[in-house]
Amino acid sequence: MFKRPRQDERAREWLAFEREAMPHMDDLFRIAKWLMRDRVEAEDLVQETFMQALQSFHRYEQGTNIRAWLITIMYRTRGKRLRSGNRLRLVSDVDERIAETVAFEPPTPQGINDEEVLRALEHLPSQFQEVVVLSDVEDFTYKEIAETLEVPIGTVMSRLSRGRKLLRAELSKYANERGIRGAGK
Amino acid sequence: MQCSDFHKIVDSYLGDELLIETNHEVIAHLEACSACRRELAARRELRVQLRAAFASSAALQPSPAFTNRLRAQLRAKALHETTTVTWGQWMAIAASILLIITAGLLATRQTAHNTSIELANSGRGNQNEATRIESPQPNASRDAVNLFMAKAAELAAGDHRDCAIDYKLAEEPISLEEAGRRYDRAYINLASAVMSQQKQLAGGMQFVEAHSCVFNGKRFGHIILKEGNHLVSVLVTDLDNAPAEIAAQSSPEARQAVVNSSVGGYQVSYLATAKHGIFIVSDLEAARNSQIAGILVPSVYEHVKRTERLT
Repeated sequence: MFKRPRQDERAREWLAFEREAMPHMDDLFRIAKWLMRDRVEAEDLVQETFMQALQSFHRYEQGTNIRAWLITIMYRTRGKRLRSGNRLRLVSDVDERIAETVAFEPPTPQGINDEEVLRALEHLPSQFQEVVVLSDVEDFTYKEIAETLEVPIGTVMSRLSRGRKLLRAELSKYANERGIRGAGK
Repeated sequence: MQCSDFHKIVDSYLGDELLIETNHEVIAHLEACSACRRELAARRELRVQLRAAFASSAALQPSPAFTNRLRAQLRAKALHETTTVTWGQWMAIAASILLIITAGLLATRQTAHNTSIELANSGRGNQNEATRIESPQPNASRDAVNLFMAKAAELAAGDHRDCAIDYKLAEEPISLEEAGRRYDRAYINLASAVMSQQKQLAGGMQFVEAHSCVFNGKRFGHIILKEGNHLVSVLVTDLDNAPAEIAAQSSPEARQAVVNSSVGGYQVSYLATAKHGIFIVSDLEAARNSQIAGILVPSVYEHVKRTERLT
């Protein structure tokens, strides 16, 4: 009952996983919490992601971007959950049209605090939030974003451009409320 | 390049996604155009601010309890998965054995209705003493209960060995308080229930540690004591999915005795409440282990029963 076969091999793989993947746990949780809003759901998602990652760690190519690999697993896991829970919200035309109607270049206001930045981001339709977070926060390349979200690169580019525009429009609302002057003028 | 061209590709420029030639054109334009330079600086700053907001927002940070728990789970999965039969699997086995035995019992009902049968005599060469339950239960149910508890005793002995002796558990132990809040309130004040009996334990028994740990997927409340060079574990665990007869045998009417057995070189004395198993494990002489159990188990039993009534 107490036997432990292949313990050395397991220990080696665990050490590699611990060294490579574990340092990104906090980072993944932040994105998960952002995506899910709910702490318990975020914890579930991160847990499932890491369990999945551990299981397929032999498929991870050493030396490549492990954070991108983990985040991709997390988005896929989330996608699966949303689909199974029938909670998938398709990108609506309305959202896209709203994005189109935003003034060309709202100025980027100065003196906005972190909390306001996050609140403004939260007001964006989710498909724009996703690309902004992956690009601006996670520093993903267009290609990585496209693979993670399973959309064409052209879509990534247009969503990113609109997402940033929308974000600036939101931020200028806060700035106007507080009488902060835009930097672009 | 015009300002309007720059605006079209500024996102790609920021993401370093442009061809080298285009990059040069952008740089040349920026050198000449202060408005676009300001625009680019503002965008860069927003990017930096977004990143900082994510990294510092209190609402987005994981709790240390969560990261510790996940780390322990991953570690356990990485190092132990599939090497042993899990507690849940044992429960399934115990349940199916009970079913088979009960079916057989129905055929020979009259002969099986008996009294005073030895406990913990089902295989494994366990040595027994003081192992009588006097209640009119059929043999078969008792066998299932015995098998179930013998299995649980093995896990207790395993936890004593891997935790108290070798300290090589996959998952880091947590405090009894935390385990009580999260898993089973029987763990709260468990240490007090044990230590209240310390004076009665002749022989200079010392307190070593109290925590909750996991062995083979099974969580225990664990109090470690020391007598000379011998470590003694007091272990309490939830008997989830136990045969219903365990609940029946621990009813107030049923007279119970602590079962003493030898498992994997350790002495294990144990008793079940309706929902929990209480185990005293050590490498002391069987008589001494049984004596310690005689002093500690009643107090722990009362404590555990009290928490069971509350839930």
